[in-house]
Amino acid sequence: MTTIDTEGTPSTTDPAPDPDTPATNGHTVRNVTTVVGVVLVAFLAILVLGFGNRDKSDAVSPLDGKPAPAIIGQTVDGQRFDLANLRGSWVVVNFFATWCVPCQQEHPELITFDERHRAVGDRLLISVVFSDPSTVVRNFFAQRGGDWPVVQDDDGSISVAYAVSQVPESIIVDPSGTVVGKIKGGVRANDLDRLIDRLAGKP
Amino acid sequence: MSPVRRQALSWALLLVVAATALAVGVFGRGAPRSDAERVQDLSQEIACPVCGGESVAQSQAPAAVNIRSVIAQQVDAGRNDDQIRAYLGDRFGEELLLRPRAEGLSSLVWIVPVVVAVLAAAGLVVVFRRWSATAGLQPTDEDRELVARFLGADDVGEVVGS
Repeated sequence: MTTIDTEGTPSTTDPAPDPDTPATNGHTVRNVTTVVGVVLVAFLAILVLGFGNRDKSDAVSPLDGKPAPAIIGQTVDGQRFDLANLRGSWVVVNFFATWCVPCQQEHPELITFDERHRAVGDRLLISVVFSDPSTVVRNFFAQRGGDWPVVQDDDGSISVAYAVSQVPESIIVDPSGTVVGKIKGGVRANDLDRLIDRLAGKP
Repeated sequence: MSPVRRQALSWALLLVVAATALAVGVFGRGAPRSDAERVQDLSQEIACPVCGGESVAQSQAPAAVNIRSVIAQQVDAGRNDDQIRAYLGDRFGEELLLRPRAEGLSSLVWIVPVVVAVLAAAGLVVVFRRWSATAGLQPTDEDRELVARFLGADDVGEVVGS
């Protein structure tokens, strides 16, 4: 408290201990800084751990190790199709669209894979149409070859059940009907066989 | 009405208005939502997995169209909003849910702001208390003398005792 006394000289009186002395303020500032620092470090740790645990590998599907979602529907040729009927064989479920360039590029490789295994029936290939009309898909196969079940997915439910958001994508289902692998992007016949060999435990 | 009562009344009114606004915001959707409204609301809560920053309600990407269609199918099939969110979250990952689920690590998004708000309010209460304690300082003898000297009063106690 500063006042002017009768002689006009400043005089200072300090009546009671002020709780907001510089020393206390220093403590408060230091405490607040510590708390803010701890919170920031905690957020950083959460960010690092959270992102570190996220697996971005293409080969891991959220369905990995789970029963393959049902694929029941019509093929583009009007045949009835049910994935459950293929139990006992390895199945490659290929999602594709005729308008997708990598799908066009992988098509000859899929033909090679299908022809290699069709006679034995140990490894089967099916395709699921991703946002494409049946007539266009029929023309695509008529022009480029290939003769395996191509299932329509007009309501998108098969693609969503398999968590497919971009094509091409291929999902490997083992003979017990479990999802065991996934390839994002175009495939090659030899790579498909190598992957299935590995999954089957073959040398 | 005394100023203190008037102040208390305005605080009470403010509280009532704030509580009513909150209650209407949270519960006051009036009539139950139609199926189409549920599909629209859910679509706005799900990010399009391939378009960066758009919800499936806004995007025309095939993946977004498929997810919208599946939301509509599941609403038709009688599944509730949480079941539909969980179905999509399990497949495409939690990052697709624009409103994070209130469980696990994601629950921090909901808990931290509430904790911070409570701590901030508590801090304000403490600081205000301290300020009012400071305001109630008692004058010292020196102060009394000073005032007495200026006023020329004989009885110092009368001056400061009010």
